[in-house]
Amino acid sequence: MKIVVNGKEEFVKEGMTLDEVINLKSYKPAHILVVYNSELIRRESLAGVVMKDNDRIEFLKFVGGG
Amino acid sequence: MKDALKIGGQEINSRLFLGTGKFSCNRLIPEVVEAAGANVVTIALRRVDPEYEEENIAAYVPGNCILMPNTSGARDAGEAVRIARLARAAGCGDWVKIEIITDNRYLLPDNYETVKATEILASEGFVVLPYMSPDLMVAKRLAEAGAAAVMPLGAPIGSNRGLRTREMIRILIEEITLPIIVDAGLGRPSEAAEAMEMGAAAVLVNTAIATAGDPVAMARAFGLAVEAGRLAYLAGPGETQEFARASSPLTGFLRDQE
Repeated sequence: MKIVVNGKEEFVKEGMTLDEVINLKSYKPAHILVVYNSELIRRESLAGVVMKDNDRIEFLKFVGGG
Repeated sequence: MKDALKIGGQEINSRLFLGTGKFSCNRLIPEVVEAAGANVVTIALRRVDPEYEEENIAAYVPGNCILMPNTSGARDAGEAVRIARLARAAGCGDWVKIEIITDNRYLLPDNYETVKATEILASEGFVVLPYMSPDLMVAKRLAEAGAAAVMPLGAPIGSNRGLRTREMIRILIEEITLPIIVDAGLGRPSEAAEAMEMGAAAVLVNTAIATAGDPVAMARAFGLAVEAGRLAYLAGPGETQEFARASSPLTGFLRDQE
């Protein structure tokens, strides 16, 4: 099924969870913010979110800025 | 009587706000914050690239500082609002600097979209500090929209060109009751001092400190300059004169009688 990760289309297996997507992409959960369909998902809840077709995920972090 | 800066219901001890971009090494940031004496520190929100090992900038900001995420990257009010909501949900608190830019050459902000974003975010309980091009009517709209302060630029971001917009900022200070915080373009402590002498409530400095030869020393210099400028403003500078007015008496000179 198709999901959108950081603005790009990706194809993943049915039933994949959000933490599995993170592992697949080699992100380090401790340092990133995970936004699933415009909602911030806490680290402890990642395994409970099952991907659906056309879901949008943003992996974000705070960086230096003025 | 204490000279407190109050924004969003909070008393801010330092009138030097600090940006965290462009530092050669994030490990400098805690020392820079301390040297500057800053209480308000800005950060930005970006997508993560898993190919690069990136640090979490928030870990370098002392815990007693107010984090002010900016909405840099936003091209319109909708994008700015989205970034602000995400930052708050991530634990940044209610403060937000609205930064909406589509001009890639001078990075001048879009004042109209900034007013729209201010209205939405203020209604959601954010403490909104909008970054803007100094324009009196826009500043009035921002105040009506619920901004907690107004942040006019002194010169383009990162240019170190100083208070190029000083006359417009002077008008804002005279006409707008909200705190006026000069943000962007200040390149030297003397320019920060000048802004404070004019009556600015605070200044926000990033590039001039981050890219200095010694950022910690420069942060201290800016901190002292902001303090000096504020003291001078409160002391009431004397009027300027067209001609000279002697400082020593004009009688009793030690000279031979003619």
